[in-house]
Amino acid sequence: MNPLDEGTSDDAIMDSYQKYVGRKTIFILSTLIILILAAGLAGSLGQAKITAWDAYAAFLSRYFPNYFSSSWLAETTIWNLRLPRIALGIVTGAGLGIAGCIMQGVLKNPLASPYTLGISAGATFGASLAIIGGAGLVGGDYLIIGNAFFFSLLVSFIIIGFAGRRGATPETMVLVGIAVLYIFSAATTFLQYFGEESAVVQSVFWSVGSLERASWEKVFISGALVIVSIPLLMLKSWDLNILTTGDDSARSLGVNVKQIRIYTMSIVSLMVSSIVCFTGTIGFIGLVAPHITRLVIGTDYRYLIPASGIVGAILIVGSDIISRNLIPPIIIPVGVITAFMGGPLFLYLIMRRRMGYF
Amino acid sequence: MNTLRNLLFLIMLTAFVFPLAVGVDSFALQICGNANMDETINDEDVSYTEKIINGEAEKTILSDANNDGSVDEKDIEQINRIIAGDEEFLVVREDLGDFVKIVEPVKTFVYHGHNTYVYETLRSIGAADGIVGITDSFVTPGGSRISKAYLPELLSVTNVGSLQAINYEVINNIKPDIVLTDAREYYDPTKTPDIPVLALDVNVTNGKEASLRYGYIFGKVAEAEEYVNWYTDIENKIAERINKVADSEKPLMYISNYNFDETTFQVPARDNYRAVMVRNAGAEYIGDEMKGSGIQNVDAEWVIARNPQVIAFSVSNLVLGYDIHDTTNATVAIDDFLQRPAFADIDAVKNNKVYLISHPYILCGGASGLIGTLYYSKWLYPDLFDDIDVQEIQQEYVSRFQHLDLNVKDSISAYPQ
Repeated sequence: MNPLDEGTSDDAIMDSYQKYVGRKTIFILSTLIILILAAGLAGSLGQAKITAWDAYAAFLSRYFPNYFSSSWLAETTIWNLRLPRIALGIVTGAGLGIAGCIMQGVLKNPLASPYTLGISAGATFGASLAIIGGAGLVGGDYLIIGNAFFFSLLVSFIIIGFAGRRGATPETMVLVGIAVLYIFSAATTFLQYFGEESAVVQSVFWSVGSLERASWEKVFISGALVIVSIPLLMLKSWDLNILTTGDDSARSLGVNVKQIRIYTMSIVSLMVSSIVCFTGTIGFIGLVAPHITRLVIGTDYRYLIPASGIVGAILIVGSDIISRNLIPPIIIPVGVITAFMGGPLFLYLIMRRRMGYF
Repeated sequence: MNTLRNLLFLIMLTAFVFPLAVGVDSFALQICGNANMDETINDEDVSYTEKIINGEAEKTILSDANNDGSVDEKDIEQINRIIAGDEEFLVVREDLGDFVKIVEPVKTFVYHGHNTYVYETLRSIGAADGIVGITDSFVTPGGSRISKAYLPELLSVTNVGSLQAINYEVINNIKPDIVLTDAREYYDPTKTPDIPVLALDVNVTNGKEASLRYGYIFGKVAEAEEYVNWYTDIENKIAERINKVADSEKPLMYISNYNFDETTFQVPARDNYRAVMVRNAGAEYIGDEMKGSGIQNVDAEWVIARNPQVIAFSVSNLVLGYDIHDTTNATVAIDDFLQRPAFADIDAVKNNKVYLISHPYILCGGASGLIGTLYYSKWLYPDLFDDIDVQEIQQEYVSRFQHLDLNVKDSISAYPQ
């Protein structure tokens, strides 16, 4: 309901606005609490023979060594295995959720996401080139990561390059993204066709999004980029709100639509590249997290951006709990679980709410 | 005088020619302390290290026995301890060229394995009892490496997750003395701190050296030497017969996986282990024109145009292996290929020289790979190998080195025999 419909007096408008803001704030706070609980649960569940108390004691012993002590197993399990995984899950979910939210907004397309625009396909090609061909821009331990980062960024710049052309529309950018997705997918298949058996298996496994490669170093790198990107995107949330009324309307209100599109897409690209180069393709989060959030709190980007990030993080951390504990000791790639879990949830929300919410 | 000169010449000629004749290559044992880079660690390494210290010999990559950055008296002490078998640690060079420090003695291990070859080798040298964890494909029903007959003891070993997504928490629970892997690209040693991780596969090119390296790691040097001697004897049996065949007379052989209903065929490139096996068996290899060690897809026409005289397809543990006692699935597979009209005129089909071989147990690595090579040789040169019963040798391997009460002739590893 439009808050302005409830009354015309200043008090009524203010009251409605406060309710409007209150609902969104409550949603953000409650999802934040859910995320903390999910992270706590993820930290206490697993195959290591330690109790939940051992797990929390190992966590707290780093900060309060005089009050808590832990065993080698608990220390290793929490600080080397579970926490980096949870942290990378939060960073990944937040980054992809926010990226999807921005992309869907500036491109005016509910299907826009890092996956559907080919950014993940670029990362997969880069990684495959390193794994199968042994070729890359940087060597050593960063060969695969460096390639994945560079090629995902390359895809983004191709899309942004088209956005800068005269007469480019959001539809053009989406179509360019889809075209690039197919080109890089074909190039990856080409590499895999000629690759050594074990390298092809490794390449395919890399392309299935997972948190298997989580480490503190990776968390710090991608986390830093996500943390820097969020305020830079939030700064443009008013412009993004105006953009929802249409390009012409936004222009008439003084918004430089083309500049906003290039600015936000550039930041989002950098953020997504810093994530997918470590995790591989986790396709569903960038698409579904913003939609779930939008269904609940609407399209005010001041709230939609952080809330999409939190919902994305919950989806990944929750999926990771399932991926590690469903059929132990087998760990199912988290990308598979996010699709299984997020898909039905998304369909349920669509059925419950009006169809024209976007 | 002339007689003595002739005798000396004959001795020198024999010394030079014999290794070539049997086709057996020497190797350098990849353990620090093998200062002179030969096949063992003995007093000669002590002497060589003394020469290095005295400036009379060059350092080698393995001369720093304790891997502390300098070659000195402490290295001699370490070498002597290795010779005596009471070393506190070993520094081993792994597949990727890195040096791994292993605290001795090693009693328990987790095998993060793709193939059976490392485990078979450890069983051959009497070190397999220490296994405390293994990857999923060896223990979960339907796994590609599972075998109730050949690897029965593994069915009750702790599952540490899949090859590509290891459950490190399980390995940390077990805390083995060492983790052995033949798929290092998937293992992150930082997730299991304080547990050494050694990437050391056993394949057709390093089979004997890797077996000896494992012998040193597990304190089973004598057992490893006995196994390697047996292995060398089989190699010699093959080589001494194959050397009688001129290159121009060698049949062209094609080896690949078999996929039903597909018109594309896979060809392992010339450096692939399967290609090495074919050449060791005495054939000309169909994929020699392909560079690298990968597997390439070709159209059926590519195979037909080259007209191989012998074809061997490797098949899964549902078709052949120690658990398979009838030829039903093998017959279906081979008939599927033989009934393809496009292949009707190639020599291998016309002369009934199309075979199947067990992929998980008789292909590529360890002594299993050697037995696979022997099967190929027998198929290629039935007359030259008339005196050799491959199943008898396979039985010896299974009974003497794998310590299994298993009658090879009750199962089907290769078809038709």
